[in-house]
Amino acid sequence: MKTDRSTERGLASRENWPGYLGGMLTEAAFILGLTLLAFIMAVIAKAVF
Amino acid sequence: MSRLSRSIAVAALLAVLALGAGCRAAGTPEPSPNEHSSTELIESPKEFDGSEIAFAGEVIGEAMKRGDMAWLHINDDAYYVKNVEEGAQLGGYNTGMAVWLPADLADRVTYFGDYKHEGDIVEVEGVYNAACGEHGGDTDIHATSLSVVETGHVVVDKTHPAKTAWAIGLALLAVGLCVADRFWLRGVRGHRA
Amino acid sequence: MLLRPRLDDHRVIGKYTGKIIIGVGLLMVIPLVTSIIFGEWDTVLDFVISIALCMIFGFGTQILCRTDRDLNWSHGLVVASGSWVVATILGAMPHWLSGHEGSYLDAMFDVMSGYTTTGLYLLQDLDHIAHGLNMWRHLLTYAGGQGIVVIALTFLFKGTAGAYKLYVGEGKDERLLPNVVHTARAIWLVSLTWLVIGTALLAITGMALGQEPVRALLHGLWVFMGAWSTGGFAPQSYNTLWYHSLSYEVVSIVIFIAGSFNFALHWAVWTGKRKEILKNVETVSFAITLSLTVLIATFALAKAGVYPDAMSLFRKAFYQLASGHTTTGFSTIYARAFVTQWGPIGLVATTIAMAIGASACSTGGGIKGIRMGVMFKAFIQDIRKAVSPERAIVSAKFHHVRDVFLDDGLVRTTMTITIAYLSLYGLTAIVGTLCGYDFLQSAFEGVSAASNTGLSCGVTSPTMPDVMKALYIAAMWLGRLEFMSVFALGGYFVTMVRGR
Repeated sequence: MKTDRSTERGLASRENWPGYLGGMLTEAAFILGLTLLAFIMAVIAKAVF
Repeated sequence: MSRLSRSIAVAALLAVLALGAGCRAAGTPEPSPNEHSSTELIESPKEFDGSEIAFAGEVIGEAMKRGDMAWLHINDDAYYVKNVEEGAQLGGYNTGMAVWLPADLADRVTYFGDYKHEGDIVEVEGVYNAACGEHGGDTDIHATSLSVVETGHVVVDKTHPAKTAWAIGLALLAVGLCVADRFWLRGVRGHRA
Repeated sequence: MLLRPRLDDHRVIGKYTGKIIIGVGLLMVIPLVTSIIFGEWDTVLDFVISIALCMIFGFGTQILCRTDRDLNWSHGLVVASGSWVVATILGAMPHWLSGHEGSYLDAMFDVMSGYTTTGLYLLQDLDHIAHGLNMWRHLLTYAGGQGIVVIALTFLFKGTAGAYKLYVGEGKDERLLPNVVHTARAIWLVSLTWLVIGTALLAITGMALGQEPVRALLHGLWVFMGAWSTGGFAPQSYNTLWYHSLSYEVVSIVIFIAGSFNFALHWAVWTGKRKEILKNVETVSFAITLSLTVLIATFALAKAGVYPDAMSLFRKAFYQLASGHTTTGFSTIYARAFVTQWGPIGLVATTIAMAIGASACSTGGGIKGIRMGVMFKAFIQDIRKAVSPERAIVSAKFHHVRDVFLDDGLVRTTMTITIAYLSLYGLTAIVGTLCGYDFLQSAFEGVSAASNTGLSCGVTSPTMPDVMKALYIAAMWLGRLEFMSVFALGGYFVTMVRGR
């Protein structure tokens, strides 16, 4: 896979960090979405039984 | 003997050695001080759920205070009187109960069990919950009383002279090989190349 | 005809294995320093001895195996799997010297479990071990998660062509960047960034929950390492039940699910392709199978009335299932509660989640999301072929960073590995049953070992038969390295004996 901006020298260079942290937040948001879905399931399950 | 059967014999011998190596003799581990041990409580949750029980054992780790209340963890396993660092026999995993109690009761505990301490042995009385609604379904005891049965103590971290000797000897050998590899032999090869 | 390896082959393999073991020795410096800081002098000696043994092996092989040859493919596979064995034997030394292990086999079990990010353990009296040893337990699972070879690639190799072969041998085949050493560094960049932020979050939460700062920091670091590497080791015998906190659970869930993602996915999302997380075959597959297994377990537990309210039900069901599916192995219930509270349906749902497992090229194990996705797509393609006119060309593709077309070779490889996993799961379940354990429980435990999860329903214990300990060690190793490199090592020994 080829990345345009992060060539070998600039892997940890300063201008990449906002992108990296944004990526982390995206991942966390996706996971929290799954967590919320599970909570809704638990609420429905408790309502059914 | 063919090469194949010889190899199989060597492999079998190595396997037996690997399985048997370094076995530590098992003695009779300390039994739980409780009428109903934590193992029993976990094994038959329905039977004990909601019942008033007394539970004794070693307090380990720390007291986590949350406002006026606190969490303690009390182990009634083979190590509640004496732990492995003090030379106790191996007797299986740790096992115990999480206890939720007023913070001022938790203040009575002096020593918490860890590497350098054998914790206080305490007895608590309270209600056993197999799945506590107040605490997200945790298995716990909501205690209303705590008494210290035996205060814990500091465990001294002894070093054996033989182990020290081994450490020094092996370290010197390692440094020797490192030096030989990095400087001496590399130099020799450099000349050859 | 099999070719018997020649002296030069042994030399190449010895040289590179030695280099990796030097890496393991260097890794032990961290727990050594930890023990020095906390004044645990007996443990300091344990680590000095262990480091010395690693260095003696490492530099010994450097001296004995002098060669300038580069690795070929089979060397790469043999070195990768072989170095895991040597790293396990030598890495078990601190465990064994601590006096907390019943035998050297038990110590090796714990270390293999650590490297393979499984999380099962046989160490006894965990609540009284040294900070140094706890650091080693968690560090080796963190290191194993990125791959021991990846570590060595990062620090010890100068980017030979053979390096990529080693990297593949360890079960990773994604190139995040064109150069394999840069790929290894990119993996570290992702892991270390998460390490700093995750540890900080856990430590702050721990302090808010009543832990003292030093303990909160140590616990935060160790729980992070256990979570990110989908390992499942925790500093106390209560595992994550210790914290009794929704916020601690949520933070750890975010970390271990993120840890179960493919490093290529991380890299794509981090370098601007945000939508990848919704399109990628593995996240889609994970979201579907996780939700399905959570659904089954939640309804089964609700019907059985195990938990009194929706919050408890959610916290317990989702945590164990997410932990199982990502092959982490953290647990907020007692091991035996899977049997005494959850019952057969809960056990089966968790077993299925563990069997499917995490993403490829991640720290996790199991069959993996990409294979589930490929098999599903292939299945649909076959159905479409069956109902289409004979001459119609039915193509199928899936999205993993870019669109990939499904071809028979890919489907075949996918099936081979999947069948290998299923056979291994079956074998561990049968051997467990033969040793006298309940079938469902031995299936749960066997799948847990072979998928590198580490959840336990109580089968694994220091009194378990040695045969099962040895089998689980092998299962963890095979499962982590995805079979091929282990088979290559087996082939290497066979050719030594039988080849011409």
